[in-house]
Amino acid sequence: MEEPEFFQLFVEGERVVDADVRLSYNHRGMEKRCESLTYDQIPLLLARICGICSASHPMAVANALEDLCRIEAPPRAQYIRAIICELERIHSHLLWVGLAGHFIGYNTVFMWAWRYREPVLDLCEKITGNRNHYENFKLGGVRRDIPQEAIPEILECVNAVEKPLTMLTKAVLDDPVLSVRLRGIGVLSEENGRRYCVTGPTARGSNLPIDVRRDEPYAAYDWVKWDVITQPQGDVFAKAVVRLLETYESIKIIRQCLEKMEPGETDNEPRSIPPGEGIGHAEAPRGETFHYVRSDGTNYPLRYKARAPTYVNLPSFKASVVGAELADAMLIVAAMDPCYSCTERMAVVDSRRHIEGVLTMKDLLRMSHEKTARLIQHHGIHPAEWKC
Amino acid sequence: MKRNQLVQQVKTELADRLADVVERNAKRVYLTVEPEHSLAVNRYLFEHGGRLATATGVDCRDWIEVCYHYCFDPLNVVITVKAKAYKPACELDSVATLFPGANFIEREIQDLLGARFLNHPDPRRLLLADDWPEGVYPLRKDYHHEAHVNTGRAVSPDHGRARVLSALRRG
Amino acid sequence: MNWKVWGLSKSPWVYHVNVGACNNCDIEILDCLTPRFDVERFGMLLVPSPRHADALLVTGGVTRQARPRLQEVYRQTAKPCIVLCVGACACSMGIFADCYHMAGPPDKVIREVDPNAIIAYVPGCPPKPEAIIAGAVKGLQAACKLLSQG
Repeated sequence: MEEPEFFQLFVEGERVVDADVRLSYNHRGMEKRCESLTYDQIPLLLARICGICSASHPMAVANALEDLCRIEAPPRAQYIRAIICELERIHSHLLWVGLAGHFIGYNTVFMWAWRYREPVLDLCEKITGNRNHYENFKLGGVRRDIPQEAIPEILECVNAVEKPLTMLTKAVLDDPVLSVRLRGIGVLSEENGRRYCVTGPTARGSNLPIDVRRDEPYAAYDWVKWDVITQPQGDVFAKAVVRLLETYESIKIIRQCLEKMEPGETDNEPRSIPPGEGIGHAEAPRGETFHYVRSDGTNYPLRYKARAPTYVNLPSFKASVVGAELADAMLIVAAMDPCYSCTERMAVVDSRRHIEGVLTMKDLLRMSHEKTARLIQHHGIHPAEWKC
Repeated sequence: MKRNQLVQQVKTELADRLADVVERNAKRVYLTVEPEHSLAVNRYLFEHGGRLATATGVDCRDWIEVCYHYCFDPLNVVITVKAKAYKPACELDSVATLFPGANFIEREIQDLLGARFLNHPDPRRLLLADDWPEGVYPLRKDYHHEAHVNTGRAVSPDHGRARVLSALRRG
Repeated sequence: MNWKVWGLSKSPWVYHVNVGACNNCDIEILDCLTPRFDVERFGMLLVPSPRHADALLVTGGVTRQARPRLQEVYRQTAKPCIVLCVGACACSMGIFADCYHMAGPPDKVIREVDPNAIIAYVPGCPPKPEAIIAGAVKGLQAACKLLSQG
């Protein structure tokens, strides 16, 4: 997947000794634009911070504005919000599994994971009107109700995702090559995780049990039973496990929400915004989205701040990639599941020999695939035995 | 430790450094500090288990208010430190000297609002384009958009118009 | 129809460049390769270099930082080529039209380099994979017609 940002890796031979990143390619100036939008328009703009966190940012907007106005959405709206956020988490994690498979060289995993995303996207389209940007969350509730007739269909879709998810989870956990390929790579220690203030699966894969859904429950998360998944190792494998097991939790949450949801109002329709400030955060598939709003009592915010999870997770790349092999660099970036999941180019600077070159994605993919092939040969595993 | 214990401890132990404390509700506490105390208060919150979620810069006419938001996840409280960086220098001690998580966060405020973070380990431009003119801060209230769009030339903002608009906003 | 144009119309090789998109259109483009839509059976391939490409798939409104890069990518793309602007942002900057860091929609940025560039638009936010495929097919047919007319 293409996302414009520029990574610079300093290597000595095949080992990375330092890393740097240049942003700006995706900077559009949304916070300034928010200052001339009404509070109803802001979720529509901010959903487009990131295509795949397109429920999480509007969720954080709703949380921030409801904190400002000191109101709460009605219960049915909270259940609907949780259902949509969890559907997003399912298809986002499946997307990640597919991309990770592609980077390692398991293109079948890529094709199958993305194929099994499609019914979830169809379901989102049926409930909200769009496969991705749902435009459903607003201050005070949701724009569209989920009709009772749709509930059996949602349950059916969610049940249907469970089987391929189990297959993909087993493929990752039981595969001997993946175990060797991903374990011990790109380790982010717990201490570094805390110092870099990481969130989401990047944090939970490093033994930091941070999850906004449990720590500051919003939507319906404290009305249903589910677990926060953490892993202690901090490597790429740990993060993969966290994401896969979280998807099961999402399915659990959706089932409980559908069961407990009662008919009722879906929108409180607040009419005025008081002056003051509000903070709202939500757990996106990648981590915490954090929003801050300052209001002067008019229809437009004085200041709106939106922080995507990748912004805090990305600097931790430096801590996890130093000491790694060049062939693993792309995988380590992907393990953070940045909102830009791969770069179009990485500049590689050989600091020992002072050679600078630009490797394309093709080069880095090739290096990654070659490493996988070497490991397969080394461990004497026949390709027919790959469980995919 | 419970949430109210933490808040009480913060209010007591930092009493001489805080200019103001507002508890908007049980989960949201806002501390205001003068610039010389910003680093000490940030250090206290980080060392007592706070996770810096982000920092917001707000242009408040005579100063840039840098709000550092610390989440204390197990206690379900967000404590925000509002440090005033007075104009025209807009200087604050850099929190990135304490932990690397603040690095990108402060660079963003530097780019977009022109606050200067002293002793920042890496004060390079982060978010704005290479050809974005120096000294032009888009998130300031006197930023003049039409003058910069698509031209890449630095043009002085129209102070008079901005003053009128901000006066109208204040009512 | 000369052979170059005929080649363009049959199995176009596509280079995807994101110049400031939210990534949603990029995901829908990648979706076209996955089993449900599977454009590779039509010979459409995503290539890693613009020099091999018949079509440029551009997503996103062009940010100021990405502007020279897009122009460079366009210059490197083998001609004749068609530019497909996928998504509302690529068609007209969309919801970001008034944002301070935008340099313009891709068609304006590319026309600065080549006023005769052939550009097709696939609107949507994001356009569904069916729409992208339909847009690509229509765009290529129209481009080939234009090119054959000289």
